[in-house]
Amino acid sequence: MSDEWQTAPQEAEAHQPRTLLEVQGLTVRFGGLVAVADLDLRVEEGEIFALVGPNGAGKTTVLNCISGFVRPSSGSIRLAGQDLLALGTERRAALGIGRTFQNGQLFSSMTVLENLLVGRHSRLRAGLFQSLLPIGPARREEAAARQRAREVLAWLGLESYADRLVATLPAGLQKLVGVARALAGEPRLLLLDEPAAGVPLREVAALADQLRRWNAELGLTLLLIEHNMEVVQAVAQRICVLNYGRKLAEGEPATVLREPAVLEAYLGREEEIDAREEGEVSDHAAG
Amino acid sequence: MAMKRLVLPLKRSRDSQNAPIEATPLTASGRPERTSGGVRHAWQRATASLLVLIALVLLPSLFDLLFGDSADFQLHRVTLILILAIAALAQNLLTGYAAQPSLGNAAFFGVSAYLLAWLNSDLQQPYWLAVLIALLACALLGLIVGGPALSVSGAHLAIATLGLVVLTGSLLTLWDTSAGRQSYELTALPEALGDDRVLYYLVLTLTALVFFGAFQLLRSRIGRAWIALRDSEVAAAACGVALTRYKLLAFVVSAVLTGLAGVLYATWGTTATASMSSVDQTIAFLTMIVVGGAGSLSGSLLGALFVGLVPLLLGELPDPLTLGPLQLPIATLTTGIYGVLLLLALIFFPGGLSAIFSRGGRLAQGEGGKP
Ligand SMILES: Nc1ncnc2c1ncn2[C@@H]1O[C@H](COP(=O)(O)OP(=O)(O)O)[C@@H](O)[C@H]1O
Ligand SMILES: [Mg+2]
Repeated sequence: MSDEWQTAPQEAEAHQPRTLLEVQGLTVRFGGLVAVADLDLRVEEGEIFALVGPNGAGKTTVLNCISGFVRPSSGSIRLAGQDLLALGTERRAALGIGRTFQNGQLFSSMTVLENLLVGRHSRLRAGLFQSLLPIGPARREEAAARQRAREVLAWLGLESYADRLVATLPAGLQKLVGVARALAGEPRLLLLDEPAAGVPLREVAALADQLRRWNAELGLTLLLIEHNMEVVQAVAQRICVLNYGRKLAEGEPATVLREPAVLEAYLGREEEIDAREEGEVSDHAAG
Repeated sequence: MAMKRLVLPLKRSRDSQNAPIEATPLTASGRPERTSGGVRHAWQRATASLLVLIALVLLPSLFDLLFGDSADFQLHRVTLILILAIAALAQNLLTGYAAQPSLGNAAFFGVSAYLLAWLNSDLQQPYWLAVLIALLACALLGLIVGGPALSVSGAHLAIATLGLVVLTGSLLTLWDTSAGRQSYELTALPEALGDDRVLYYLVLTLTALVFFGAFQLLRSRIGRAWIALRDSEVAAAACGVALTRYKLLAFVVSAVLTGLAGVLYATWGTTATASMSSVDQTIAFLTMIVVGGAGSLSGSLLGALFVGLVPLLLGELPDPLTLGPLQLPIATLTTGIYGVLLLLALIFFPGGLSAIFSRGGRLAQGEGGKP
């Protein structure tokens, strides 16, 4: 097995950015609801791209389309020029799309290390009959995979948790295991759904550092959904703001987050929420 | 906790002029809690398995001492438990590990037994060739049935596969009736297998091999993929597990192992009966994994022991059992007892016997009862 992170870009290519992920005219309807409307996105190789927007804006749905859990009503999605929509989720994983979930979705009956080994599934080849034997190619492959998974854990500072059952870990650590599992597959594109949600406030800055580190040291392209604007501003080179499934703005975070339409989308929703909460309170008072 | 500067085995800095970014652990708080002690645990399990195996190898000699003349008869009963253990393991791989609530295994149990009887007794084919063909037929049948069955999930899968069992049972009965027989006698078995001791060691060897293979499989990408899709189908798919393929693989592997149990069961009783593909049989399979422990290899063995002992103990009673005005056939009583055990286990011991045992083990080591 190669010593190098297999997705690291070639030195020569590092200067001229290439489009890794290209989303065109993506529309997703759930019954009458248009969750994503005619969305165009372009994520360059090696960049950190953030998808932001109020709850229900359609961000997770976009990730679900990219990883193959949701079939869009129309539009196209390409990874390094290859059409993804014709492929199943597992084929997309094999092409190098890693992913974490808003709600973890860890394999809770397994140890941390085993979670990472599943994360490496599409890089392993052993067939049924080889896997029955205590020796032979399947076991050699397995040993190498374990070694690799331990390296990923060490790299994330998680090596001491390798043999712990995931279910016994605190929530913040489970989040990190979710990332480790995705990294174990050595993806070229990592999709992160709200990595900072549920992470204690004092650790959020550390998380931002981590994101930058994965990007810089692994040459990993990150597409993340994030509500915490500190994290977004600290890590993202470009962001796209979604509202009701539509692109509201796109560009560098500092400028985009100042645009009136963006501010309004957030403030408007917040007022809505505030108003609703007050209504509930007064309802209770009345009742 | 101070983190040492991390060595980066995976890295390939994109921009070497960049100052390396200091690793900042997210887990700065607290030292890691005690691990489950993976290595020690593995050794304990290996030792326990080896001891069980040695005990089983020595069992015939022990029985000689204990039972004298009836030793072979008693050994014959233990052989049944080992055969059931293969069937329990088959159900466990499919339901306890790959989380497919299929109730169809009894279909393969009966089909393989009838194929063996037909090929070996009627067509006069060599025993092992007949076994091989029966197993291949189970694989093929599993492949054909598994595709459509697995496209529905949960309760629908359970109902569809139970339908398969009932259908198979009817067809086998029809075959018996049209051939004018009560059950299918295996009249051309190899002579050696008539010796209880030989049969015992043959079954023990096969059971040990099957359990060892399952142990290896569950520690490979295939077994892990099954467990992964049990824990989270979406995450498994996102990791590259082809869900349909792996569910089908579990179904076929389970069908073949149940088929193996089926041919051994027919060999053991020198007869194949249509009741091998019945709802009662399905309940027996289920009871084994629920009582023994779903998702546990040792649970499959314990469950088989439990389920095998019930008819053994009831066999001491007169059939039918007369309780006042009630005439209770022992077979009905057996299934009734399985049903009660199933309910009790589901309500009070969701982890089954294996969980109770391992909890006991942990308590003994002073690690507390909480898993
Ligand atoms: N599988 C689905 N079926 C029906 N509606 C869905 C489904 N997934 C998401 N939605 C709806 O689509 C909208 C966008 O959801 P989502 O992408 O999860 O938003 P976000 O991640 O930005 O909070 C919401 O109104 C949500 O209720
Ligand atoms: Mg979301």
